[in-house]
Amino acid sequence: MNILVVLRRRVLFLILVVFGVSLITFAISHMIPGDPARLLAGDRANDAMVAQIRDKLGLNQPLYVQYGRYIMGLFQGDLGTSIRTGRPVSEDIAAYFPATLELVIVALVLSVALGVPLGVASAVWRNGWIDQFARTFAAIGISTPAFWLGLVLLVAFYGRLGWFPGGGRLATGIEAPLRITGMYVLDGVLTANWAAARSALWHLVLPSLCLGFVHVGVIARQIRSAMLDQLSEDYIRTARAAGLSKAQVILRHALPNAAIPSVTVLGLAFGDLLYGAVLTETVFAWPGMGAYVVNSIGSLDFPAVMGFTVVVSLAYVLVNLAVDLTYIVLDPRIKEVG
Amino acid sequence: MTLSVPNDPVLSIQGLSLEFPVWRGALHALEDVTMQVYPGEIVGVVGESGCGKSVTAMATMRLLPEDAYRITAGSLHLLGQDMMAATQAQLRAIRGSGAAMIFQEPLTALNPTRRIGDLMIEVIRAHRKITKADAHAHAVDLLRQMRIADAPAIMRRYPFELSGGMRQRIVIALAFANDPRIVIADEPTTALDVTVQRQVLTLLQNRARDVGAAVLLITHDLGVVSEYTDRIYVMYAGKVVETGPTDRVLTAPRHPYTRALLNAGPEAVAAKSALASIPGTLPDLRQDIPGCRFAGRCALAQDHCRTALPPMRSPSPDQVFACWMEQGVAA
Amino acid sequence: MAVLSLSPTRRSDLARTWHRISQSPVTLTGLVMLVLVALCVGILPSLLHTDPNAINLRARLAAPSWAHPFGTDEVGRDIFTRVMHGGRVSIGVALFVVAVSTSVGTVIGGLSGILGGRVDTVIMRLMDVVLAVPSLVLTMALAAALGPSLWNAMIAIAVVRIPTYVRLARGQTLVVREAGYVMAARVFGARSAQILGLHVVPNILSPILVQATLDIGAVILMVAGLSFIGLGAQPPAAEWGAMVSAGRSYILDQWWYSAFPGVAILFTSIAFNLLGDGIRDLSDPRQKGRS
Repeated sequence: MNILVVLRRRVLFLILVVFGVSLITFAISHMIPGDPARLLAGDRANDAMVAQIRDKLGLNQPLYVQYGRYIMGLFQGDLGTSIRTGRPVSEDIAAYFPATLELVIVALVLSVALGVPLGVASAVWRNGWIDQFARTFAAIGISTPAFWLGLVLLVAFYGRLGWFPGGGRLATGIEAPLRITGMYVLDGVLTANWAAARSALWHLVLPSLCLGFVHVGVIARQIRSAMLDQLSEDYIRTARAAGLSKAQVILRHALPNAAIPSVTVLGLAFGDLLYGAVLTETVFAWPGMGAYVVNSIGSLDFPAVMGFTVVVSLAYVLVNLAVDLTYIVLDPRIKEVG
Repeated sequence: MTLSVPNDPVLSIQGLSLEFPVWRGALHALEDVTMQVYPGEIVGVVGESGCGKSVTAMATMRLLPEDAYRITAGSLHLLGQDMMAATQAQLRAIRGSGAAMIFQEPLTALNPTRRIGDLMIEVIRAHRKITKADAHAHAVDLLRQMRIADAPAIMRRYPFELSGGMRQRIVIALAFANDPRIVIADEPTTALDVTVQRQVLTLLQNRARDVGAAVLLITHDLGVVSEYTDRIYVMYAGKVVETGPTDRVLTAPRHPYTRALLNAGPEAVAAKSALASIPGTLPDLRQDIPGCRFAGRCALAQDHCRTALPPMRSPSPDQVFACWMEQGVAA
Repeated sequence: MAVLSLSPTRRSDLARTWHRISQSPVTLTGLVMLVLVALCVGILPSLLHTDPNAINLRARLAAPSWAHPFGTDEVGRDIFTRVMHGGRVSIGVALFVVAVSTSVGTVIGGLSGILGGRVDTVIMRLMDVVLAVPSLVLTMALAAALGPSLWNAMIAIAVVRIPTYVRLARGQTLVVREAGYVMAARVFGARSAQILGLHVVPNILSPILVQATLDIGAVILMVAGLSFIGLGAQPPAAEWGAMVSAGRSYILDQWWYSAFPGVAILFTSIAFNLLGDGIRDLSDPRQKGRS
């Protein structure tokens, strides 16, 4: 299997998925019970105005023409106009995307840093107390409602202890750093704006903990299972028979091989994190895409909701494409065979 | 090679009984197994699959999963070290150094995502305080001794890029990395083509003779045993049923099971169909078997064979077999 | 299956299964927790004859006490009563959703596997596309489009979960299809529906049931999450997610308002996940007994 062959196959699938997503969002926005034209026109509009808007949106044309316009628009980055803000959805999302990305990345790093050691320990001392703890922890993790955990963290660390801020991205009085990536911590560091960077990092602690918590268990569970697979392999026996220490056998032989299939889980986790961000951002008043979409849902702003869905799906598919490529790079067997 | 070597054995198993706890009971995998391997000799262990020969090999290096088995009797000394009492540090010092092991399946026996050279250097440096460069030179040297052409290039290869024969030569090179005094080879060539088998075994034999290492060769292939070993142990259902110099045991077997194996012919044994050609089935190792374990399939079995353990008989100083018949099946 | 029914001592199989469950404290914990939930949610409300929507304006936002173990909300409704009643909604919805997506998915996947050919290809490509989209986001979008109500949220959750079961059922069907008895049925001219109902479904059920058990916890969370952002149950319905959401404005002073419904979600979801985990271990011998 050559890397180019894989890449071509994945890109073809990507195009298929983009069409599929566009079809799904198109279908969803056309089966909504309300009349988009009337919604866009507002409550006080008369029938003539609604008809005019309907005409402008092309809602009188056959469905396939409407879909054609929709998909052409998508390829030009046109996600429609938000009913709530009156601005192009693409602009709104571009404005809110970095905040969400920052939150998701920090949550992912946090959950890997905690989940991998937990999973390894759990596999190595299988059925021991640490394994029971890790399994219980994982079960609690995937069972915890993120929005509720956020509230608990708020009550404890903001309300009672006052250790961390209660919401937002920056303390009042601190200006956002010069926009380079839109991620405040990174931008703060890049522009040597330490006050902003520190404040942004401080504001990230509770939301990223809340968002990452679920995935600590998911990652620990995946690593545990992959490690158990690897530890029962013959080459582990060879390594032990050669007198390598337990730490060497586990960390240098089993873990790298267990990590390869586990990379896929990170890609999948990314999708869940994006949804988790919707709930987390709502709780922590985090001005990202999630909070944006919840507000849009509240005001029946369908172009915004569907735009969000398209963008998130695309990001998800791209991340998983990247994950697949990483997989190929990490595993010498795939790279060089055939 | 004579058997009256005055040295201490490099491997000494005394009356070892080992069981695997299972649901409401235990699987008696080894029962009163006694074996000795002396410096420099090549000793074969033969029997069908499930007879306990691989368990013996794994137990020797204490590689069986610790929580999965129990030793109920006997002792096991490797290079004078009591393996059952050894600490992890003591085990590490012996494994891959004084005692090395070669496994059956050369593809899966090597870490798939690690280059050959990295693995060899890691193993060498686990036992010697030398630089990476020196370890690299030593590894290349080891590969060359296994007649591997272009050793430096092989060092950069991954296992999946090499043929089965090549991989097994690397595994053997790895086993000899730290001057072992005994090499335990568990069906080292079963997975290979017949022609490659001979090459690899001859390399193993020569290498062992060169450095004076003993070999415990575990196999179900009587052809291999007759060609490469000095002495053999025949195992059946977790017990050693007969032992002696290879020539004597194979030309004048005393135990009915040994004879049945020979009658089944090397081809049949190699194809693992010996069981089919000997009527009856293996005993259930979860049960307590009061008598001879082979009685259920032995054409010559009497009533008392099933109820009482057969005595160990020694028709000559170096041949021992366990049977109620005084002369065994000797003609 | 065949091994099980041919085995001479069926009772000892049961005993062995029970032995293994009792050896696993995690599974046992899940089972006990689930029984507790069933008692509290299933039986307690009927015994107490309490009304989850009874308003008591003199006891507004009262802290937990003997009279109100979980405190009261802003119009003095007893949160304990509401949590018990809310469980019926949350758990009932989850069971319903899983039942719908399991059965629809199994039928589609089973048919796809039996029919094979172009039908199979089209169905599976379609499922691949849906599965390539982040499922939770898709659920949210679908629920938003259908409009905010518990019923619509249920439909959205069920629909988005179907592809998982289609894939699972199809995979199992392909295995079963090669089995002798299905071949024989085909030779004797049985129709696809007959093959599906009589031969395939009973034999592919066990992995699907394991998946379904594990799914219940996830669905409970999903329902609560959608209710939290206003897409599921609407106030004043006693639903756990909606209750957490309603308590949000009081969180810093009247913590119990949001806390207890959230604990209920957590507790129930853990119970199903622990149990599902245990069942999976039992049904997958590869996971057990290796070292």
